[in-house]
Parts: sequence; C-alpha cells; structure tokens
Amino acid sequence: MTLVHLLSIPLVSGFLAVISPTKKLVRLFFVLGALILAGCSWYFVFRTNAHKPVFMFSENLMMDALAAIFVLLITTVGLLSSLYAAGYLFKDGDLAIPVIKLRRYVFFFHLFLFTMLLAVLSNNLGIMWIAIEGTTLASAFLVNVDDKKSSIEAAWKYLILCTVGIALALFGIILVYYSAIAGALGEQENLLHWSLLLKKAKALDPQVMKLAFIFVLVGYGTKAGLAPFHSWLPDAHSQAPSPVSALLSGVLLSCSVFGIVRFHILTRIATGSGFSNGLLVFFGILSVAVACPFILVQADYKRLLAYSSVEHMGLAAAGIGFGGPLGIYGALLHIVNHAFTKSLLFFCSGHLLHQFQTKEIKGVRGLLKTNPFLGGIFFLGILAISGLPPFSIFVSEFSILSGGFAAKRFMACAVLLFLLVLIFAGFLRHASNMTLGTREQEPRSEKSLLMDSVLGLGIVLVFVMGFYIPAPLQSLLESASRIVQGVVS
Amino acid sequence: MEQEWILSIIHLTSMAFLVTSFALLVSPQLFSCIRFYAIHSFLLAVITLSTAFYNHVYHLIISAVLTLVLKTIVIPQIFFRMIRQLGMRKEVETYINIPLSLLFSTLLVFISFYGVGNMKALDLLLSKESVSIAVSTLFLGMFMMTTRKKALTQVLGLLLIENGVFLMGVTTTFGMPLLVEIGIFFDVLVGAIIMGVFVFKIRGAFEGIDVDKLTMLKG
Repeated sequence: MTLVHLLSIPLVSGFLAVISPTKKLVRLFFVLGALILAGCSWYFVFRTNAHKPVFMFSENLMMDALAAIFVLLITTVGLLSSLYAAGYLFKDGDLAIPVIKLRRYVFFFHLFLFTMLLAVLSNNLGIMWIAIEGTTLASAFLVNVDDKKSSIEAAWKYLILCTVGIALALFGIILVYYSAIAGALGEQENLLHWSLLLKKAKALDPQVMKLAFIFVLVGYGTKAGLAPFHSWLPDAHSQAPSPVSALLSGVLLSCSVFGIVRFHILTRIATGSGFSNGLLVFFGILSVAVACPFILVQADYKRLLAYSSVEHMGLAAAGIGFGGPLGIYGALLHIVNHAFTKSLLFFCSGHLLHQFQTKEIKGVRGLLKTNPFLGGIFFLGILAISGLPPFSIFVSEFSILSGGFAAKRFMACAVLLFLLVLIFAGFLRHASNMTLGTREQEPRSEKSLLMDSVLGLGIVLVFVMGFYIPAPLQSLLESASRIVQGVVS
Repeated sequence: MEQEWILSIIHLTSMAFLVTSFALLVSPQLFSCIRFYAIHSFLLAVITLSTAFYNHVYHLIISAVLTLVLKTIVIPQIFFRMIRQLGMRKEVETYINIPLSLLFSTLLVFISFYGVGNMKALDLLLSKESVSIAVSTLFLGMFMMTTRKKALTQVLGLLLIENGVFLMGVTTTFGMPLLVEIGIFFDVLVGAIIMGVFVFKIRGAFEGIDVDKLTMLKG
C-alpha cells in the first residue's frame, strides 16, 4: 500500500456514494469508506517505519512522523464523525432529509477528508496550499446542509474570509520560493519541496523568510481560527450539522496549524532567531484571551464549544512557540487530545439539539436527571475540555505550560494560567446550569444505538488518553516533536 | 535591443495593471466592473507572456494562456450570466463614497511602494516596482472587499487579490512549478463557481445579495 492508495480511498467512496441509487447504499458507502480509510491509515502508519519519511510522486508527497499523526487524527475523527452522521442525518420518518441532499453531503464529506489528507501529506508547499484551499471549498457545502438563512450566512463568511486568508498565505509561499531561487538551492522544479528547503534552510534569506512567515501565519492562521482572524469560526461551527462541526473543529483547524508549523520550522532555521516563536506565542495567547470573555457570557452551547476551539488552537500555537521538547510535545499531544475531546462534545451537542430543539444554554436544564447517559458524558466532556485532571487535556496543557516555564516565558505562562482558570470557571457554570437542576417538560428522546455508542467510545478515548498513551503513538509523537525542533535525524 | 523592448512592455503593462485596479475600484457600474476585471486579467496575461520571453521560462506561456482563457473569458462570462439571471440593479453600492475610496486607495498604493522600496532583499529583481504594484493590488482588493455591499463585488475584490498574488508570482519567481500553477488555477475557478452558487443561495434566502443583511450571527 502506498500514499496514493490512501488518498484514493475517500475519492472512490465519495464517487460510489454519488452514483448509488438508494439511501441505504449511500449510507453504506459513507460509513464503509470512512471505516476502510481509518483502518488502512492505521495499518499504513504503523507498518511503514514512520520515523523515516516515505516519499511518493517525485517527492511531492511525503509522510514523516509529524504528518503521520495528522493522518491518524483525520481518519479517526472522520470515522467517528461518519458513524455519528449515519445516525444523525440518515433519520427516517417525517424529519428525513431527502436522499439527493444526503448524496451531496456524503460526496463533499469524503472530498473534505481527501483534501485534508492531501494537505498533510504534501511535501510540496504549493500543493499543500492547493489542498488547504480545497478544504474550504469542499466544506462550505457541508456547513450549509439545510439551506437555512443562518447557515447560508455562516457558509458565506467562512468561504470569503478563509479564501482571502489563504490568498495571503500564497503570497507568503511565493516569497519562500523567491528566497529559495535567489539562494540558488537547486533544480527549480523542486524548490518548493519542504524536505529540500529544510536541508538548505540556512541559505534562505532571513528578511524574506520573516516576511513570508507573517503572511503565512495570517493566512493559515485565519483557517486555524487564531484571533483576531477567527470571526468566521463560531458562525461556521455553530451552523454546521454537529458531525461536521466535530470534523471542522477537531481536525480542520489542526491541519492549518500543521501548515503553520511546517513554515515555522523553516523560518526558525533560516533566521536563526526566535522571531516566529515570538509571533506564535503572541497570537496564541491573544486567541486564548479573545475566546475567554465569549466563553464566560455565551448563550449558545455550540458557539461555546466553537470559542473553546479558538482557545485550544491558541494554546497549541503557544506551545509550539514556547519550543523545547516539552512545549512542542505538549502542543502536538494537545492537538490530538483536543480533536477527540472536542469532537465528542460536538456529538453531544447533536444529541442536545435533537432532544431540546434549541441551541440556547438556558433551554437545556436538568440533563442528568432526564437523560443520565448523555448528561454524564456531556458533563465529563466539559470537565475534560476545561483541563481538569485526570483527563487527557490536562496532561497536554500541563506539558505546554512546563515548556513555557522551561523557555523562561514566565509572563506568558502567568497570563495563560489566569485565563485558563477563568475559562474553567465559565465552563463549569454553563455545564452545571445545563446538567443539574430539574426540568419541567419532558424532552423528546429517540434512541439511536449508533449515535450513543459513538459517544461512549469518545468518552472512553478521552479518559484513557489521560492515563495511558499507547507506545507506538508515544514514539510517533516524540519523533514528530523532534522534527518540529529541527533536529534532522 | 529586442530584450529592451520586452522589458519596456512589461513596465508599461504593469503600470496599466495598476491603473485598471483603480478603475475597477471606482467604477460605479457592475458591468463595467467586470469588464475592467477582464482587462485586468488580460494585462496580467500580457505581463506573464512577456516575462516568459524575456527570461526564457517557457512554461509561463501555459500559465499566460490559462490566465487569458479562464480569467479574461470564462470567469467574466460566468459573472455576466449571473447578473442577468439575478436580474439585479447594476449600480455598485458602497459604504464610503467613491472620491473618498479613491483617496484611501492612493494612500494604500503609496504605503506599498514605500514598504517594498525598503526591502533590501528584493534588490536583485529586475522590476522591483512590479512587486509594489502586486502588493498595492492586494491592498486594493482587500479594500474593495470591505467597502462593498453586494456579495458579487466582494467576489470581485477577492479575484483582484488573486491577480495581485499572481503578478507577484510571475515577476519575482517566474511562476510556480507548473503542477502547482495548474492546481492554483483550478482552485480559483472552482472557488469562483462555488461562490456563484452561494450568491444565488443568498439571493434566494435574503431577497437580495446585499451582504449587510448577513448579520444574524453574533457573539
């Protein structure tokens, strides 16, 4: 099996779903495609020696340890999301969505998975750009599934803001390419290859690379939801159907962070200074600070989760910026943990929306009494996302902050700690309002075993990752953090 | 001698490119906006072609042809058809009036010329002012996106930004590798089509394509 096979799986399953005549078949290809993709990617990552990069297509595609983590993340969250959506969107009865819309949904879902995979697997910075722009185009239709006014508005903002952002990133890539040409580093066809640029990064012009990094940070930062470019994010995440929100929040944001990290590595070596580290820490803390008040006073639980994504992407960026083994390892682990925890919470929000027919926090009361299963998982999920031990996010946040202290950025760490405490308080207030107390009217409840088991699986993952990270994954994370530190093995 | 000719053509078209950006920004009619965009892209194609011959990088010819076909013919045609189908009023509506936006955009151009002029690393380039023009176009496109009310003119602003980035690519690096270049063209085309689809959706849901009605989502 090669990288090309891996990339072709979502394309094939998307195509099969489009041509299948009945709802059952569409659903089958939808779930089966995601299942095969996840299985193959796990098999592929742990079969091939992920510590040594694998190349394809005259080095245009590459999978190193860093990319491997993101591949696992995309396919696993993709699988969870498709399982959930198979129960959530493929309902029968009077609320059923017409099959033509479902076909479109499944097609764009798999296309979205494909573009994200291509983004993390491309060694060529230009192809990575094309793929990241592709993720916007593919997911715009996923944000707007129901053609409601508010979803159209959200999708339009998402499309326009992210496309502008990404155009700026292209500007940055051209600058990198220019400095590679000016440094006469080799064959022009290969000068956008990240692995080549990494080897010769010292010959890149520091001034141009600094400028390029700023453009790329603004461009991909828009897509990653870093403040102050995050304004599309709460709209898109709250209007998208819950399984899509999980995917957008859990992995799409992470993929853009991945893009920034690739450029950060080059810039740090080229400039030989902490220029890009400083910027990452600054924008990271700014994101946490901007998200904090919105989390405290939020009235809509899906927007609450969306702002929490801004916060966590900020934390990951800050961790990468702090640098050092601790900070970077923490940031990568944080991205993984956030993906699982946040997608779990968005799945919960799907349940909530279905049972209470409102996105307002004050519309949901007494969840623990009326539905102990959902209420319990939601409450635990909220505790996990706000960084309480023994859950996995606590471990990675702790590691990021230790990285900050090790890098002697005491002010930054103090501000972060303060903000995290505030955010924790905000989350706890919202969660206790929603889960505790009593409720007068009985919520509608239809049991869907599939959706419930996704929730169960999610909470187990979040819980276990707090204690125990499987050894292969651990060594993958360690070699990925060595790549980000710039230690070329 | 011939080389000098080509170089002066590049200089001349770059200037015309900047002037067209201004024209696009201040023209009060939607139809003329799109026509100016077509001219803008045509000039970009001319610059690309001349650069290809001047520097003997012949894969740029493909890029020039693609610019010519997609951006001067296909995308403007899509727009013209869309306006006809939408049956919308043809005046451009702005938040700030046209003389004032002209003033602002002059300021933006001044800033970008000043900023790029100070970049020592770009001194190797033959036509440093092309970079300034590319950056100005980028700024003008952003300015256009923020001050226009119609969804369609926002898309035009976006395409203006993209043309600026392309000019930058052509003049500094003689274009990206061909594979990447074709991918970018594909993305631009698909992006324009998808945005077109959404313009129709906005019209259907909001009875008009004024983006200042898109204010439901806050906080």
